Amino acid sequence: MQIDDKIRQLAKSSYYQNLFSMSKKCANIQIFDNVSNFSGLQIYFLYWLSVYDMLHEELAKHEDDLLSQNVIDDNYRCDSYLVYRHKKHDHLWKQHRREEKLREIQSRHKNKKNPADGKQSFCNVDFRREE
Amino acid sequence: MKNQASMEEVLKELEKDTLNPELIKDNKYLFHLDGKSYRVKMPSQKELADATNIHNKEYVKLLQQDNTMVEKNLIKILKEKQGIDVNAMQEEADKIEKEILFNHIECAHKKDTEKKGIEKLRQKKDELRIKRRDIVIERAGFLAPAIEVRAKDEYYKYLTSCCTEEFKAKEEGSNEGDWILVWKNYEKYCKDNTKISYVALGELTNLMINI
Repeated sequence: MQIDDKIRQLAKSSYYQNLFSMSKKCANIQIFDNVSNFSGLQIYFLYWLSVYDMLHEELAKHEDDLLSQNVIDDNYRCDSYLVYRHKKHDHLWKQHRREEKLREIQSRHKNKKNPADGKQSFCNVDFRREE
Repeated sequence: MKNQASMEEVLKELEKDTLNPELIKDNKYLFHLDGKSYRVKMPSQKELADATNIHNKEYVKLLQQDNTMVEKNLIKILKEKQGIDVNAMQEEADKIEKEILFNHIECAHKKDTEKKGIEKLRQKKDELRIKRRDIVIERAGFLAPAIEVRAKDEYYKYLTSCCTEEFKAKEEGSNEGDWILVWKNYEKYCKDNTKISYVALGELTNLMINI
């Protein structure tokens, strides 16, 4: 297991999730032994602690159909959901879908040959006059 | 050399699967090697300042030497003399990163029941990640001789030398004892070619931020 997976596993554990939600109400709760000079690992852990806390809150409120407990449990699906959540209103995704659709239409028509002259056409209707 | 570390051995040590809160409990990272306990600690402000001095000294020293070059010139030489386009490698890595992003968005739209589709996407993502990782490693290899990279190496090596401690038990098998610096000074660290010097360097970069 990679070190970032280990940190995420700790961050999503019920022990640390409970500790984190209690620490929001009670200022005396301390998560680490040290109170300053945090390591990179500790900062990374704090980041995931708050991400999983936010996801559990959203799951409880049923804010999005695409979010489930299985998504939270699976790091790959969780990353996917977080990317989607961030890009929800991003036009980049819409543009990508448009380009994909266009490619799909083009490849569909590439395979369809015109029986009249053997050349390919992007149009289903042949407007040429019959001879 | 008797105890010289191989890259394989070092990577194996760094990847050992040990899940415990020790990772984040404090700003130190405990690890074991060849039956001994070691830890790396977060450097103090003084140690960071000393490391920056070492970095700057090395940077200036390398600038004055023959056959050394800054990253910008190295990239140019690689392209002109060897036909290796490091910038194109970076662009390729960025392109793959974008593909991974779209892979994630596609996966996000899958329902829990669409297991086959999710697994197919996961496999594709893993392939892309490996492809990207290989490009990044190859690119880093080409840029390793650059002055900036070599000076940065010295920075981390110095911090490793002053932040790695070994546990010395008072009596054999006892839990009581003291944490003692592995190397008395930076020169001793530089001369040490054993596994611990490489493993400790890896663990320190992990502890500091390198994720």
